[in-house]
Amino acid sequence: MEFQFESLREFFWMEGHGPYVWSAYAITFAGLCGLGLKVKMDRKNFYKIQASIVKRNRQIAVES
Amino acid sequence: MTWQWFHRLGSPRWFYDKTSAWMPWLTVSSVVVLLVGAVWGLGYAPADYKQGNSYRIIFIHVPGSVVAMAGYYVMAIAGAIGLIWRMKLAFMTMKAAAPIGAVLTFISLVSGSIWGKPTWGTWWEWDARITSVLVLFFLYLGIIALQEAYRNQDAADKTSAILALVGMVNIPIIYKSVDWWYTLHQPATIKFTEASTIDASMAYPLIWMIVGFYLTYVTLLIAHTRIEVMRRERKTQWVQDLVLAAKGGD
Repeated sequence: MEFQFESLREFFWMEGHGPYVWSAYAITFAGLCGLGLKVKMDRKNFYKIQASIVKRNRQIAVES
Repeated sequence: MTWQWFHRLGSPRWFYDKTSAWMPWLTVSSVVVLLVGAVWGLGYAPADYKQGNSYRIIFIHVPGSVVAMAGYYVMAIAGAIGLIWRMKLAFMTMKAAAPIGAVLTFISLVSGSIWGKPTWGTWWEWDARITSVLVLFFLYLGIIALQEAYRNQDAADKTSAILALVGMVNIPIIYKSVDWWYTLHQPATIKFTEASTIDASMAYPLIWMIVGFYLTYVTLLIAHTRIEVMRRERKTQWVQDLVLAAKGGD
């Protein structure tokens, strides 16, 4: 198994097919990374909102 | 004893605790397998004698399409389990599967469209395969929309499950569309019942990427389901303790 291109420039250009191939890969990895980032953001938001609710409820319970 | 794992799945907390240890391993292995597969397909697989280098899109287009279709079965079966056994975790999994499936179907459509331009001379063709995959995309969007449309989560889950089950009819149509109708889209290249029409030097990285996409799907599905578990169980003591522990305690 060997590298199929003679230079990095050829690798990126791919005999004119580079823009098609690289854009398809970029969109794919952006989509998959987006799904991963969504989990992180959802978790962060959930913890932020929920922590303030739980703390407030416990404070109310202590005061009453 | 054999079915003990199935009964345990009835507990969202058991699922959450169990998968906590799996997540780092699944995430790292998904990223590594995908990166190795992408480098293999982009740089080390030989160019196609007819399509040149544009065929390298196959290493994301086929895995994306295969997992988008399999993901629909996962979503519909989860919906069926939720309807039949009223298992809370099944509905959570069904909801989590919809956006992942939608993104994978979008990847399939866009990568196919980009591949179509240098190969067929067109970005889009209303042929049976492409149109039925577009229907799959709308089915996923339909499930997402239904989940957002109801205030009552139980009603949203039941309606989504019914739509998911009805939409299952589309999957064999997608699969057989290239045989049933005359289409621009080529038939399957990897075959289980007869010799594959793809050389081993291209088939191995393709199979590797399919495994990578499945692994990534499982990782993302578990991660999204865990968030849904936390949302729906937010009033339980164990989630509240988890939240306070993560935020520095009370």
